[in-house]
Parts: sequence; C-alpha cells; structure tokens
Amino acid sequence: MRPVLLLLICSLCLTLPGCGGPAASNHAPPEAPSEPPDTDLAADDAGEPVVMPEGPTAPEPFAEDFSDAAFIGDSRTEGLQLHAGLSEADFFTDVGLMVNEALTEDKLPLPDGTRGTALEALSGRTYRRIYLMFGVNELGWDADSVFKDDYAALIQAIQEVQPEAVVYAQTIFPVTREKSEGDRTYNNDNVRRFNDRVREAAEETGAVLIETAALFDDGAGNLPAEVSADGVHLTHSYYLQWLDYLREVSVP
Amino acid sequence: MKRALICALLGLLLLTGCAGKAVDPAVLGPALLEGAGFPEGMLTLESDMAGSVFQMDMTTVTACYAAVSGSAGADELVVLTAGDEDGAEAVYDLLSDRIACRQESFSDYNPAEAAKLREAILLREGTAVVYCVCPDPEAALKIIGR
Repeated sequence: MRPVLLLLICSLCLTLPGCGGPAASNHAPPEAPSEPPDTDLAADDAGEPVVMPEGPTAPEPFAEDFSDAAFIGDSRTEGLQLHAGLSEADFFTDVGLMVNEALTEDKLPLPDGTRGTALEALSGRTYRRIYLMFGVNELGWDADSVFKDDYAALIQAIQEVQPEAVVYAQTIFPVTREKSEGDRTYNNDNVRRFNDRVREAAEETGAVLIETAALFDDGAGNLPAEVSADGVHLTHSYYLQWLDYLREVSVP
Repeated sequence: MKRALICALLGLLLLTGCAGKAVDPAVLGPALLEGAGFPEGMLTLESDMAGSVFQMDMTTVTACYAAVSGSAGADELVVLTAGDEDGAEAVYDLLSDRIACRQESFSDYNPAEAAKLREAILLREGTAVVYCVCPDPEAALKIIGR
C-alpha cells in the first residue's frame, strides 16, 4: 500500500505547479505572451483571416506652414518672421528683448494690439511647439549664470501654460569675425559661453535643444561674412536656410 | 456764403494730400519707398504678412501697401485704405501705439534708429492711413502732399 500511495503522491506533484517541475522563483516574471501570429497567417477557427489590433499611432506631423507654432525672441527671430514670410505662425518678438524681460515686462505684441509678457502672449491658444532664441542681447551681462536661471525660469513657465507644446531652445548664432574682433560685448567668446548656458537651461528643464549655432560657421566659430550685413543679423537667404533647418529638426 | 463754402471745400480737398484724388496705396506706397530715403533691403509685405506684422485686422482693409526694414532697423511704411472711417481710426490707433512701443525698444537697442521714430509720420484722412518711419520725413511729407 505504501509504495502505491507514494507513487500517487509523486504523480500529483508532477501535475501540480511548483512541485518538482522546472525551478521557479516566486519573483519570476510571468511567461511572456506568445508572439501574435503573423497577420497573413492568422486565421480563426473557420479559416477566416483575423485582423490584428493596431499598435500605437505615430504623432501627427507638425504643420508645414508652422501654423501650430509660436516663436519668442529678439530681432533675429523678428527677422525670421519677416524674411521667411511665416504669416500663419505666431511671433512674439521685440528688438533688444532679453530673456528676463520676456517673463516680466509688457514688451511682446499681443493679438489685440496691446503689449504683454510671453505668458500673456501664449495664453490665446494651444501650440504644439514653441521656439525660443535668447542670448545675443544678454552678452554684456556680468553673470551668465543669471542668464541660465532666467532662461530656465522662462522655459518652465511656458511649459506650465502650454503643457502640450514641445519647447525648443535654440543656441544663438555667432557674430562675424569682424564684429567679434572689434567688440568687447558682441564677440564669439561670449557667444560660446552663453550658448553653454542655453544648453544647461535646456537640459535642466527638458526643453529640446536645437544647435542653431552650428548652422552657419566659417570653420573658426564665426558667422561667415557673407551671411550678415551688420555682423549680427542674417540676410534673406540665410533666414530661409534657418527655417529649413527648423523644419528638418522639429519632430513631434 | 457761397464763396466761403467753396474755400472750405477746397481746403478739405487739399488736405487729402493729392489735389482731390483719393489715396491709392499702390501708387503712394512705392512713391514713398522710392523717395523717402529708405535704405536698401526693405521688404515689401503681402497683405497677410502685413496683418501679422502690424497686428491689423485685414478684413477691415480694402487696400494696403506695406514695407519693413529687413535688417532690424526701425524703417517701416504702411499706406492703406480701410472699409470705413472706424476701421481707419482703429488702424491709426494701433500704429500710434506701435510708434510709442518701438521708440521705447529702440532707445536702448539702437538709439540712431530710435531717432527715426521720433520723426515718424502718421496721418489719417477719411478712410486712408499713412504711416512712415524713414530717414527723410520731409521728403515723405512732400510726396504725400503736405
């Protein structure tokens, strides 16, 4: 009787989970589900093809005409609006605008014709993307760390009022060699230093960094002479190249 | 009485700036762009861009000629006719505010350009508005007929 009973117990163990089967840990992950059959081959019991459920859909591409975008910045960004003819995008710019002013001063044109802050400017609608470029007017600041902090504060404030938007922070173009060599403030040593702060602000806030600074370079870190008439601002065809570059690197 | 009425009417006609002719933005605009000392590189704007840049409601505008500096200068030009006087007045007020704001912005950014804004021309006659920030405002006024 006893051997039969033992045999019965062993048989039961072999069929019950966790009893003498393959080694398993209590923390082992569940078995991975089997791969869904190939659509072409999947068939139900009646032999009819089975349509597999669709995976996650890709995000809708950004609008070709930038009608889903806002741009905030200074005279260079204003130049982009004028030369690129972006009539469907919203531009909130002012010549000489600095990053701290964008958050605190009524300097940006509002849709109703008055002036306000960047947050007031953005309050009118929902954007899918917001492009920022600051730094050239701040090159004379003593403390670039303050610039970084102000930039990060602006980005974070924008992210709060426009949570669905991708916020892009663009590094600033250099100035021409002629400009750089003759100017204590608007020189490319300062540009490089402030661009490092732009990168830090982007990293700190999760904004997407666009290395616009590298777009026009004479090989020595200067804006090529033919790109600018005044050493600082671009000329027509180069604004168009800037726009094309933004199209290329902007992915939802 | 009849003579006084004729004189008043004549004065009113002269005030239109063009000896009785209505303002035609397509004529006056290019004339100002050519003759008021504007620098090279001015960008003329299509209607939708003019509306965007100057924040004008273009549905109230019947004709418009606009140009702006393409190199971050203060130079700007708008010659337009609105559908009615209320529309013209709204544009006039908008551009008046624009002069004040840009004067403030340019005073730190580029004082030489700010000086042009101090001499800015902004006129409204009936449904016509002329706005001109240029290096030679005297020449501009002569072209306008003032």
